[in-house]
Amino acid sequence: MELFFFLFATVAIIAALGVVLSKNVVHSLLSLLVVFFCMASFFILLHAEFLAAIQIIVYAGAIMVLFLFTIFLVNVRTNRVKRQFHRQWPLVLMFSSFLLLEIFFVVSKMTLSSTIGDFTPDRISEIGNTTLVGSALFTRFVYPFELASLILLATMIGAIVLIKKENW
Amino acid sequence: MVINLSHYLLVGAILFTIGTIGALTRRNAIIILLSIELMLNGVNLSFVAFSHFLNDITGQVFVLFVITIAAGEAAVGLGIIISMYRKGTTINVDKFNLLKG
Repeated sequence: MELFFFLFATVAIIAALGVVLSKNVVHSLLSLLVVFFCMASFFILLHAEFLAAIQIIVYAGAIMVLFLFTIFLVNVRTNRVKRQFHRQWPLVLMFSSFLLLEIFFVVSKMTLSSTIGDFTPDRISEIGNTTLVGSALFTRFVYPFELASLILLATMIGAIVLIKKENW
Repeated sequence: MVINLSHYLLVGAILFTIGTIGALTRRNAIIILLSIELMLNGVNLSFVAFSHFLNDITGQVFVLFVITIAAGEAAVGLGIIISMYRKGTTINVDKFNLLKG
């Protein structure tokens, strides 16, 4: 378990750096795909198998294809661009490292006194992860679930209106 | 060495910070959107780690909602990028100053 955690963590961080640093957009996209697969592996290590499947299907399947189609449509020769970064990047680096140090500090001071639920890993594997997530989604979180469908409808209309030809 | 909650939170924090750096420093609009997806993934990892170590299922339900919103956000963001490209034939974000008075 420990070995797999450190393996996936190393691969995820290297791939994340690849997303930010690579010159070619397609290389960034493929690095992000590696990050998504590492996330799915983390979810499996954390006994969230349903979310691992959703991660692969929605992120690696749907969102990646959407990005790829946009890159085909836009067709900008990004690796010929001389300056890939904004000029204020040292400032951003400084503040981001400060943010990271802050999170490290908080996490090192944090202690979990007790668990709040009663879904231990044994019980989850007995009932089934998908059953538990589904029953929580359709009972306790049914209004947020309906709201999510409304947001999907709104984004669909918004995306269609944005790329309509008559606008430009 | 036992892997506990802090290890997962640190990996999530590192991914979130790398995403922040990418979203704030890159000029290419598509890579800015990719960096935002990276930040959302770091947060998702924290949610699932808390859900596992607190023995509570709520975090996983929230990750499901985050994935839904991320899909919508990617669709609208890519629509904006395509209309930007039609308007100015570039997707470098510092070339756009339409709102500048």
